[in-house]
Amino acid sequence: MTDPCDLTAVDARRLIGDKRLSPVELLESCIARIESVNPAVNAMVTKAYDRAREEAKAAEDAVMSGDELPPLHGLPVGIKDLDDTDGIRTTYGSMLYKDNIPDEDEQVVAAARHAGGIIIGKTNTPEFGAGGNTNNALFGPTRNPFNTELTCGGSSGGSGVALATGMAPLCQGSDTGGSLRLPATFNGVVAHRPSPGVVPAGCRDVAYTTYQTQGPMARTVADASLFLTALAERSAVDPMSFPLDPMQFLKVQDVDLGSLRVAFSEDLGCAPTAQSVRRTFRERVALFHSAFAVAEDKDPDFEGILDVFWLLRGIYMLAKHNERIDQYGPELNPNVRSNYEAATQMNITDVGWAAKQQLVLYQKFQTWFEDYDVLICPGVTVTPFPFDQLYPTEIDGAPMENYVHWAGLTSSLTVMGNPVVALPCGYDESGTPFGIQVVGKPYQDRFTLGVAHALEQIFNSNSTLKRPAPDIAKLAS
Amino acid sequence: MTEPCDLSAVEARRLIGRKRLSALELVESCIARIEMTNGSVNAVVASCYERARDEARAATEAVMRGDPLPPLHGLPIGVKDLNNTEGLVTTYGSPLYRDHVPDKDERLVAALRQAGGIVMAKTNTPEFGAGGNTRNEVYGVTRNPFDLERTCGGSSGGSAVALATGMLPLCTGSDTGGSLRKPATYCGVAAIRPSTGVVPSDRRVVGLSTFSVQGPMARTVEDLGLMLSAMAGEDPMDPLSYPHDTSTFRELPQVDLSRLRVAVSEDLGFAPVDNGIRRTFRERLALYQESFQTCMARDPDMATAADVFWVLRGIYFVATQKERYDNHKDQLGANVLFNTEAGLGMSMEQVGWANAEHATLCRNFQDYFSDIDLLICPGPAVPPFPLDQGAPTEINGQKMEHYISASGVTAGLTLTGHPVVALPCGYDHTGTPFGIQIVGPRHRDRFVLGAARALEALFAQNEVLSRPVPDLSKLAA
Repeated sequence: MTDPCDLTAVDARRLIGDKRLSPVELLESCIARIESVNPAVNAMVTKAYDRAREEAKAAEDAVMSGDELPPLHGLPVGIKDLDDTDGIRTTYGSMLYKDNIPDEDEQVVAAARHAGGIIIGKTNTPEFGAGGNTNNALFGPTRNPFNTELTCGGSSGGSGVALATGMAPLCQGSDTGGSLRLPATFNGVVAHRPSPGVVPAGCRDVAYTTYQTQGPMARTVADASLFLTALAERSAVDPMSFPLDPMQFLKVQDVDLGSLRVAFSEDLGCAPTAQSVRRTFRERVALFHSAFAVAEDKDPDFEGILDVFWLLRGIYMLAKHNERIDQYGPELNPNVRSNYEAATQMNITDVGWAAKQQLVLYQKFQTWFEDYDVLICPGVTVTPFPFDQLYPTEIDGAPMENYVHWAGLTSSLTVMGNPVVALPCGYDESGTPFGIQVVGKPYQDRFTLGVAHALEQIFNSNSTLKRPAPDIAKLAS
Repeated sequence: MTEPCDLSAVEARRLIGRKRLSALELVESCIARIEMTNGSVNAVVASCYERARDEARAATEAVMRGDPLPPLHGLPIGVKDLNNTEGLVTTYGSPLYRDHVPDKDERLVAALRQAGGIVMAKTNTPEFGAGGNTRNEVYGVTRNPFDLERTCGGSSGGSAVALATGMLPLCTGSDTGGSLRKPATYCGVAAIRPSTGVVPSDRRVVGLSTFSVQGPMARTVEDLGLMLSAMAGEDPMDPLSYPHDTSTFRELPQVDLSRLRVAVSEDLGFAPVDNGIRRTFRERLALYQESFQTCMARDPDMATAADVFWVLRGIYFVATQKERYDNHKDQLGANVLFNTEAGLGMSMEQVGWANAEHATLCRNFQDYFSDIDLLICPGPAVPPFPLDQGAPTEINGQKMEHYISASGVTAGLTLTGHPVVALPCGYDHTGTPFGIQIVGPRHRDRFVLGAARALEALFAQNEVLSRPVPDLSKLAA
């Protein structure tokens, strides 16, 4: 029998509204799952059970008294430890903040709560979110539930693992170079990186940027979309937010794959990508490309885009750490240190060029996109690497220039800002989950989710394509 | 008797639709006015009268056939010489482009023509729009129609003067540090700097920025709404553009001033503002503040805005001008050279600081707006300065560091991305037009236009507050 914690968010929410599942029951099921598997994977680093239990009880009362119920009513939600949670410890993965208890919710957290979500705990992240491996001096590494010797990806790794193992039906993440999409892919879960401004954020370090984008993670596309309904709550706190009706995400759009023109790209013409990933991608695509009206192998023109990503990342690192860099001790995340130092060596001519080139590439890309409805590429350039490795230092023998260079398939799309759904697609050659990115046109978040949802239905009916699930019993033992 | 060229755009459009005014009659009236007054003010620097006449004839035929007419049908339009116009010389005020005839309209111009507007002339601007005094090597200086020895402001100075003198009913402008608002207030016309993303641009050099926003200029607020409805839209070439319905700008809301909570600030808490302007602002305010529900003096928290703006402008100039600087340094004017070199001298630490501070400043401004509906502040910091001066060199005895230093009261608002209407408000203490800036919540452009229209109606009833009109007979002489 399915434990309540393994239900999709959409199903659980329906059962709650139907009085067939109590929010208390659901919460206790999630807590039991955390207690049984978290020691093996270390995804949930701060637990907020007491308040969650009170809120679940109140949620149950609201159901029983026939109140109007908001979209996430009674659903446990995991929050990445980069986002401030009122009354719940928030460390940013840093020893400096090991006892930090905010007195205010970050906008996305407030939005999740307004929509009836119950914060169950904080999920692990590398210090200050810098890195594609979820490991920090404060809490240690989060492990991949499919192979605990391997990384779960990052920086929203705790959220990815919590979802894969059924600790919570919804978890929030954020993404600069791929931090929603890398862990989603490595753990066989779904993430949506929204167009800028769709999910307003109060914690971004740069006002106008495609970096530091907040988004939903879940086990199904419909769940991610449901969660987006909440996260897209309008707030003026984000200068990039714009008028939009979040309720459009409540029901996933029906999309007819048979009328879509789709471009497939193994490496987006720019990203160092492992041969094994290319092979898996080609094999999988061969199994589903006939679902589309037009399926073409075509790379966008992303020449120089990884340099643009790195230079703009320099501005962001300086903006984020300028004031605090001297307070950090020797245990600081080496990624932060190296990135900050590299940024101080850049100059304004470089970043001026990058700011300009970002728009040049963006306009080329949107022109290229006129011939297609979506672009599909692999989720990650490599298979999960050992959990104690900071990042892949080489791909098929080619050395990486820095700690984000290996993440080109995701970071290049960050520079563009187009909406992206990370979707599980069977296993990779090393026995861990494989996934794809479904990329839409700017601000077509709803449509992109609709395409991903339709693909998910196809994948579900094929044992090679369907979403992998880890062996919970093994993790619990 | 009113000449057709002196009609408001809304009124002229109504008469055209009702067959009581022909587009050709209107075009001829505008041409006659240009021929009569341009000799003394030099606002229009290039024109395409024959094409305009052809288009006007076609417009009349469409009226006579009973075709459905687009919103700007038959209305002559002036286009700032920074905007590319197909077949019409476009110099950006630079000798490098003295003979540049674009083979394509830029998006904005195409949108205006698509909406039925008749592009008839180019209006003067300082080289590459850099400066608050409209003069350049190609065309010389544009003069203030109220005092020919003083500046009309800039950089959309030609547009403002063309409107004030009745040469054209509608003109385009663009605004980084105040280039829509300063010339509007110096010439007694109206302008709106829309929220970022409302009017898409395919020619902004940095995509993710509140700089270089395009907007309408006109003689009345209703005209601004009409023109904005044609300029606004969604364009995938602009990463800040988002889906929205633009036709609503033609139906401005009736705003009841007595229900508005208004904050007023003489200097935004940081900007240098001339004592005479402060006095004028206070005296005028005393004449209309009673019309609001509440009206209190309260400065926003933007103490660092001048420095933030200067550094972000430095990045923008490096992105925009570095290539020309390297290859054609000898042909660049003083402001462009100075600003590019200032940018090149900035450190990465400054770049990081300015970006972080910008994010903070945006958040502070939201807090500030949490319990007010509008902010009202002076339009310009100083009265129009002498023609031969590039920019104000001192304010109240305090020396200005560079050509942007006197622009704080407009440039500070640029950083926020909020909609700002510049509205005429009688004469200043030196006998040239005075104006105010009306700032609304982000993306509530329609509301702020509605509020400005209500104020405009109020001002029209009081000769001290009403819109100044220049003495045309003196200009023609």
